[in-house]
Amino acid sequence: MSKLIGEPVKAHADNDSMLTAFIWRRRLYRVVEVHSWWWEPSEWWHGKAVRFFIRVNAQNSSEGTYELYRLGEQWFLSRVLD
Amino acid sequence: MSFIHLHVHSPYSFLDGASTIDRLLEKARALEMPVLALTDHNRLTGAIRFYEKAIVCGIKPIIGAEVNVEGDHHLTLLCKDKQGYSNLCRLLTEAHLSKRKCPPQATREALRQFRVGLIALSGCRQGEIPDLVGRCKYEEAVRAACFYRDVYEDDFFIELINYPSRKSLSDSYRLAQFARQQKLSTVATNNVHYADMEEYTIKELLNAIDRNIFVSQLQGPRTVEQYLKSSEEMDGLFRDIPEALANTEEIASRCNLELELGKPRFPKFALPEGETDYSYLSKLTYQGAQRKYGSLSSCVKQRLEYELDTIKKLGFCSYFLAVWDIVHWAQERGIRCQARGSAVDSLVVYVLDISIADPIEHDLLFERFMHPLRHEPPDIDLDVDRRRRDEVRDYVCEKYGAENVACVATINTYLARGAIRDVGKALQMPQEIIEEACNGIHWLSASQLLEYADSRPELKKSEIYKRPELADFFKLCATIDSFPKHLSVHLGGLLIGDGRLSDLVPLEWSSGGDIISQYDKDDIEKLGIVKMDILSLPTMTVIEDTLSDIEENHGISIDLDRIPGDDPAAFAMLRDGKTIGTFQLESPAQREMAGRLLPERFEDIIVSLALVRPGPLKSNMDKLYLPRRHGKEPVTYLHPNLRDALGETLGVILYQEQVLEVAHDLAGMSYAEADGFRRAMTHDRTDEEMEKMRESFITCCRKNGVSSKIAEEIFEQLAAFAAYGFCKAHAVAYGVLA
Repeated sequence: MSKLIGEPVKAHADNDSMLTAFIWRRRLYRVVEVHSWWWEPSEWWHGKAVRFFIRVNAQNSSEGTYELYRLGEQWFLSRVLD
Repeated sequence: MSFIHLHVHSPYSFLDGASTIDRLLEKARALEMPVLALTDHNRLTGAIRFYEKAIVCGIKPIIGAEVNVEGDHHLTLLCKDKQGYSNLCRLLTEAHLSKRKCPPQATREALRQFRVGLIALSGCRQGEIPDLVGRCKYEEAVRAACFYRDVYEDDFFIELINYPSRKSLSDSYRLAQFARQQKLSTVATNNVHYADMEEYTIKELLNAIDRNIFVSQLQGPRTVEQYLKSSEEMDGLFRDIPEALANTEEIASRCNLELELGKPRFPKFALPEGETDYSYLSKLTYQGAQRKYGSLSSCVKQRLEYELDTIKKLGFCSYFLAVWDIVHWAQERGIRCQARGSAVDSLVVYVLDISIADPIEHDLLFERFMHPLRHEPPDIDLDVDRRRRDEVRDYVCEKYGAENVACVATINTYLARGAIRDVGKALQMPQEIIEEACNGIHWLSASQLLEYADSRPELKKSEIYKRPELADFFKLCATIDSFPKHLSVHLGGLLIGDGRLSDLVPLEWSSGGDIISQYDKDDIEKLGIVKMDILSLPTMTVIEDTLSDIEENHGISIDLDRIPGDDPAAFAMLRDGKTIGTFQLESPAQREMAGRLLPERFEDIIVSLALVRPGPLKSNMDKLYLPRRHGKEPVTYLHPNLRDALGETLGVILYQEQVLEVAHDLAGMSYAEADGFRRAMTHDRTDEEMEKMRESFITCCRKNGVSSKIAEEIFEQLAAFAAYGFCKAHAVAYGVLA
């Protein structure tokens, strides 16, 4: 099960542009494990760009699985997985 | 370890591959890939150009195809060697020809029959085994695996494709597990459809065009992953299955096809006992020459000896005999049939009755047609009475065997109009925009459209090409410039093999029901297969009807060979512009030219045919020639040594043959070298190549006492002329017919 979010987040990346942490609703989530990443096609005929997705385990007060995507320079939290 | 891409589509997958062969090779080279395969859908149409270009790039080419097999499944096949290539050609032919008006499909029997020399990969998601495993039909998958292993033995591999996605377990893991259970080898591929990720849009656009739907209506899973990935990217995707990566190299090492390009493969001509092809050709040539000339002058003898010697040295005797045989057969049955084009430059062609124009009388240069430095098969194009062309074609099929004869294909490619219409439709552009954008553009590519939007009068008048909101649309149209759309029948081109054609060329049905090659005429030429153009010419039919009407109504039998070429009454009619119905001379432009040229001899007709064309008229050649023709301006030459070459056209270059003569007389080139020079100037060449030719020409001229300034000026004239030069032999052939 997962919960769709679709909100912008502030992301921190290391030197290889890999996500290390993100701030969502003013709370910091540290990435502890990267599960997978992939690109998704877009409605390019409407001028939309491909999106880079990443699924991570991140820790705040507890650990959870989160799916984020990047659109240009902006990161979004796509969904939270149970 | 270097990963090798073994499953790659180009635009010759017809509306599925989105990057040109050049682009794919460029990317492969940038990624330092030593080998690349080409596996287009059900066709080898791009294979020869891919093979040649890959070698030039220092990349080993692997030829293959993704073949549709029973059940609408896919199977990737790669050629290990010549036998594999031949079997792939035969398998594709069988798949296409077994059912007309149906998509190609190879049967299991055909796969078994044409298995030798081929490596089989289980295919993409549409492969039989991947499909069955994906749908958890394991028992059926096991049965299919047994079949493929039985047919291809150790040359069968389960193809693993891993596109990262949201799904936690990719199909390739299940497939890899299945392969392990069945003890089948695996190989990693990426089912490449474009060079870079962002080109996935082009693939989707092409797919929408192919299915005649809007891009937004495309069904099925979408991906951006079918690009030419680097070894590192592929290593990352298959880290857990290293043998699938290693097997790409293993398979590449088993594929060592060397195509024999440029080697002529002429059909065997059935010779009378005791004759060789050369002796028989000589015999027929001299018999023909005696019929034409009576006793032979030394000039005729020398020319015949030279031509026969050249034909023999180049190994083209049987080709000439084959053409002679067809023409002879047709003429015996009263079918009008004669050569056009540069073949008319040959005296052998004339005395064999293949052409009706005497090259001695009209001072035609054999080397424009063939010479010792030109190793391509000669091209003798035949014009035939339109009503009876099929009889001639049937004779060729009967003579050489239906399996050995087919029509040549033409690859229909995108120009601006087609691209605007198809892309516009797929993107749901308003019809009025499509119509406006297509209005008045002919024979332009979409890139030219953008390039010339400000300079060409027909484009300047419309603002549509400059509208910023349409810029992306036109860019998309330009991206598919010259992409192939479909194959059709080449006008008149017939292939005659030296054995079963499908051993060398895959064949398929044309939409009109002809059997056509999957290669176009250029690739056919590279394979050395004889192509003969047998063209329908309505004028031949008109002449035939006219002669029989005259005989029927007036009892007069007319021999065309005995019509005088200097009849004053006929020239008076030409000068008066009374040429409606006259072959080649009836157009308004020709009638207008007749009024200015005032023809009074046969040579004037040839000049008129060469002059009345867009190139010479745009370059004002008529304004240079006509005052000289009427004595209003003096005849001058840039150099006295041009007098021989250009004397007949009063110092103006009008014919391609004259380029050879100028290069011969001024730069001291042999005629063969001069023809190479002419061809190099005519074909696409870089500025650098042109500069080299200029330097070499000027240096040679200087050695012969021609100043640099004059040599430079003459080179400029030749270079400008090369773009639109007309073959005199062709003009003579059509002049005689007129």
